[in-house]
Amino acid sequence: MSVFYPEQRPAHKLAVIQREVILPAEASGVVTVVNDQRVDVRDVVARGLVPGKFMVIDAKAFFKLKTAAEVDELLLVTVDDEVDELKPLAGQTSGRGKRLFSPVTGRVASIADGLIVVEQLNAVIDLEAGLRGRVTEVKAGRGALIEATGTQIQGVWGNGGRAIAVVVNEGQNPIESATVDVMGSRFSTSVVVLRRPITEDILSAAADQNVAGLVAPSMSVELADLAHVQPYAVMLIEGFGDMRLNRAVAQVFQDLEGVQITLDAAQPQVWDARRPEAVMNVQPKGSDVPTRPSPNLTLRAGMGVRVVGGDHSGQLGSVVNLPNELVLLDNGLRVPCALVELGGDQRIFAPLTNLEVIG
Amino acid sequence: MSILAVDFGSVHTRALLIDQVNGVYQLVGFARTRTTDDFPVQNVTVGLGRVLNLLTDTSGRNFTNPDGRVISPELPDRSGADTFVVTASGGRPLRALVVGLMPSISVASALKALSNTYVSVVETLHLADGRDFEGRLNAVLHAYPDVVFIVGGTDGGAAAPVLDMLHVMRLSLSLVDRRRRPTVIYAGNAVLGQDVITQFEGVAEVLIAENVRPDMETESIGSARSMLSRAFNRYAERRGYGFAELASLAPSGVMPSARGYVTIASYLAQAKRERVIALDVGSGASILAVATPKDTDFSIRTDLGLGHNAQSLLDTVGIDEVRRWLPFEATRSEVRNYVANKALRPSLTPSNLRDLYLEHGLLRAAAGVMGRSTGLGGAPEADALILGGAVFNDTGSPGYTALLGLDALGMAGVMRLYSDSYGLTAALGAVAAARSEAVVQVLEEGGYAELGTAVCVSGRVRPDKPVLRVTLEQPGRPNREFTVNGGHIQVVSLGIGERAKLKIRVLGGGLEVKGKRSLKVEVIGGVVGLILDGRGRPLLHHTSATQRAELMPRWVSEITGDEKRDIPADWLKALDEPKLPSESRPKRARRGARRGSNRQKNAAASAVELESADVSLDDLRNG
Repeated sequence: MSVFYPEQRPAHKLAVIQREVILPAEASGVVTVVNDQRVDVRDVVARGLVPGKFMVIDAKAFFKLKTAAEVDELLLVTVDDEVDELKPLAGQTSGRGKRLFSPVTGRVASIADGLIVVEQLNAVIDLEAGLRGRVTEVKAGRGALIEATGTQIQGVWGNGGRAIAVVVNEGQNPIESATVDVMGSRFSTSVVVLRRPITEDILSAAADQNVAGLVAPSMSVELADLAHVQPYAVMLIEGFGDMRLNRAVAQVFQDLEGVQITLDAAQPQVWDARRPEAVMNVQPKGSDVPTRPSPNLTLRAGMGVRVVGGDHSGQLGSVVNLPNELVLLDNGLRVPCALVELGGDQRIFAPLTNLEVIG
Repeated sequence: MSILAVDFGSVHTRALLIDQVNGVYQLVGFARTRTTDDFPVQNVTVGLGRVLNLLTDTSGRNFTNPDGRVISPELPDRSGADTFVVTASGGRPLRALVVGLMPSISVASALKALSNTYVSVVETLHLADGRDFEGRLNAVLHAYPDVVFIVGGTDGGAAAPVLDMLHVMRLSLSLVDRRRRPTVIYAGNAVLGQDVITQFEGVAEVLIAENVRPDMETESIGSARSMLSRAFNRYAERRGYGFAELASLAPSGVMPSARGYVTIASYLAQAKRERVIALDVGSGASILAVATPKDTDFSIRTDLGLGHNAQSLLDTVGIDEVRRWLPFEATRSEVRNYVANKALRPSLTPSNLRDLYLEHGLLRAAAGVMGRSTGLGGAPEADALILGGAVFNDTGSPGYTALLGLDALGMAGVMRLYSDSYGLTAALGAVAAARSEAVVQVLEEGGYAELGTAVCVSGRVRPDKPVLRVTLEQPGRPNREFTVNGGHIQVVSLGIGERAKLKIRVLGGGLEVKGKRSLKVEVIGGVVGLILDGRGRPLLHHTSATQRAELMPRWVSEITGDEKRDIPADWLKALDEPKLPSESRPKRARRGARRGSNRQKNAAASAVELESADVSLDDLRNG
C-alpha cells in the first residue's frame, strides 16, 4: 500500500498546542500582540469591529452648494472622528445659520464629493488568547498563532460558544436529575462532560443549572438549532447521531476533573480549518515530553486509531496491518482499508479515510 | 515535452505526468493524496510535496529540487517537467459582486461570464434593484466580495448610469480595509475604460475586459472570463492555506479546475460531431457540461457537494428527494445526521449498506439538480458520458461506477461511458490552450478508463417481461443474441477497444431506444463491456421503499457481478419521525426560574408545538 496520511484529531494529555486565535471573518481589527510575546488566558490578542450600517449624508445638497469643495469650508469634523447623535457635522463655526447634524452615533468614515459617510459603531470584539503561551505568528489584522503546552482535546462540532471554567464529569448522577438549590447544582458554572448523547432535556437542564459548557460525544442534528441558542458552549466529540464517548477522551476528561479549561466550541465553517477544542495549560514534569502535531504522520501497523462513520463509529482500536489490495466491504465498495483490532479481539476492515489518530 | 499537472480538490490532491511516448502524448504517471488545508498542516503545498513524492515512487522521476520548488523545464536526467500547471477546485469559492445596469441584459451576461469558475455571487446591484445610493453602499460593504464585476452600457452608449454606479463603487471600496479590498473587473461600455482606471486609482486594482455587451444584439464574454481567471488566481494567492506559495510556483498561477470540463466536453463534441456530457459531483462543488458540436451548456455549482457542501446540497434538494432513492425507510433525522457528519468529515467513506445508499441518494439528487439547471430532461441522451470525481470513481468496481453514472442523470439511449479516475479533465483543460495536441493525443490514447457502451430502453417496462432483443455481430465470430427482461441489467463481455455491431429490437408497448423500436448501432467495449439496461426510464418513478429494496440491490449485483446484498426486512418498517425540539423556548427564560416545574411547563408547551409541527410536515408530504 502506498503511504497514507490519516486524519488527526488529538486528545492528548500533554501536547504542544498550536492554536490559531482569529477574529470573525467579517470583522476588521488590529492585533495587539507581537511575535514571541507571552500571553495569558485572558489577554486580548486582537480587537475588532464588525462593520456597522453606513449613513450617507449629502452635505452639498443640504447646504445647497454648487461644488463639493465648498462643503470642506463648512466641515466641523474630520475622517475617523467619533460623533454622537445630533452632533453637528458641518455648518458655520459661529454656531449661526444652518447646521448639519449626525443622525446616529458613530464614526466619520469618509468625506468626499460633498458626501459625509458616518458608520454606526458596533460593539468591539476583544479576542482573548484562551490559553497561556507564546505568540509564534501574528496574522495582520486578524489575530495570532499561539503555542503552548498542555492538554488538548479536539471535537468535531461546536455551537460557537466559549467558556473558561472547571471540568465536572457527569458520572452516575444525570444532569437532568441533579439536586438544585438557590446556589445552583454541582454542575453550575462548570464545563460538564457527558459520556452519552445530548438530549433536549439535557440542553434544558444545563441551561437551568447555568452551566458554562457541555461536552458530549454526539447529539441528533435535530437539536443543533436549539444548541445554538443556548447561553453556554456545546462541543461534540464524535459527531451527529447516537455515539457514546470513546474511552480515551473520557479518560482525559476524567483526569481533568476540577481543573479549569478553556472550551472553544467553534462552529465549523465550510471552508475554515478551525476546529472546536478544549485546552488546558500543563507544564511538563520530569521526563514528560509533550506530543507535537506531526504534519507527516503516516498510518502504520500498531498505531492507535479511532474509527469514524459506520457501525463502529467512535470505537478505538489499533492497526493490525495495511493490505496492499482494495478490500471488499459488506456494502459492496472496494476501497483501501486497514485491518483494525477493536476491543474484545474483534477485527474489522475499516476504510483508511475512516480512521483518525487521536493520540 | 513533459507536462506535470496538479489539481487541488477539496479532499484530494492529484498529480498527473503526461509525456511523449514514441512521439505521442500519454498519461504516464498518477498519484493522489489528501489535500492538506486542514489540521495539523493547513498548507496545500505540503500536499504538493507529498503527491510529487508519490509520483516519484511510481514514475521513478524526481520533480522537485532541494528547496522544494518544482523543476521546470525538464532536465537532461529526466527530472522535472517542461510544463507545470496547477488547478484548484477546493476551498471557498470566489465571492463576487456583480454591478450592472439592466438585470436582463448586462447583468445576465455578467452572470453567464461568471458561471465557468468557482464563484458565489454574493450581491447584485443594478438600476432596478430598488436601492438608493446608501443602500447600495451598505450592500457592497456587507457583502465582503473578493471580486467586483462591473458591466453595463453598450460601447459608445449613454455613460451617465454607468458613471453613477462607478461613483457608488469607488466610495464603497474606499471604505473597505485596504488589506481586504477586492479586485475590480470592468467589462462595460468600452469608452469609459480610462474613466474606470482613474476612478479606482489608489482604491482598488482594476482589470479591464472587453464589453460583455458591445451592442444590444452581441454578447462577448470571453475576455471577461479571461480576466476572471486572473482574479481567481489573485484570490487564490490571498486566501491562505499556502495558495500564495502555490501560485508563485506555477508559471500560469492557479487555474479553476472546472474550466477543463467545459473545454474537454466541447472539444470532444466538436471533434466527433456528437453530444457529450461530463459530470463531476465533488465534495465542495459540482460540474455538469453538456456539449454538442454547436454549443456547450454547463453548470458549476459551488453550493452542491457530497462533503464540504453536503448540508447545502440537502438544503437545496430537500430530504424527500434523497429518500426517493433509498431502498429502505429512513427518518428525517437519519438523513440529516448522515449529511451533517459528511460535512464535518468530508472524506468519510460509507462503510455500511445504509450509509452507501444515503451517499448515492445524495449523489443522484445532486445530479438531478445539475441536470435541471442545464435543461436536461428526465431521461437525457448523449453519445458519451464522462464521470469525474471520487464518488463515481472510488467504488472499486467499474460496473458500479457505470451504474452510478447511468442513474445519476437517468441516462437513456445508447452511449459510451468513460471514467475519469485520474482527474485528467482538469489537467487537460489547463494545458489545452498551450498544448492542444497533448489533449487530443492523451484522450485518443485512452486517458479515460473506457467502461463500455450502455443501451438503455426508455418507457415504463413490465417487470421480468422481455423488453430488448439484441444481436451482437463481430467479424470472424458467430453472432450472439441476448434478450433482456424488464427491470434488469445484462452485461455482455466486450473488451476494451473491441467493436461490434448491434441490432436492437425493442419489445413491449410504449418502449423505445433513441426514439426507435428497431435500430442498428456500432458499439465499443470497455472494462465493464456492453451494458443492456432494461430498467426503463424514468428510473424508480413513484416507487415505494419496498419496491426499491427489491430492485436496487439486484441492479448493483447484475452490473458488478457481485453477490446481491439484500435489504433486511426490518429496514422496510415504517418509522416514526422523531419529534422536533421546541424552537420557541426562550434561552434565558429558564435561568433563575424554579427548576423542575419550569421544565415540565416547557415540556407541555413543546408537546403542543410538536404536534402542530408534525401535522404540518405530514400535510406537506401528502401533498
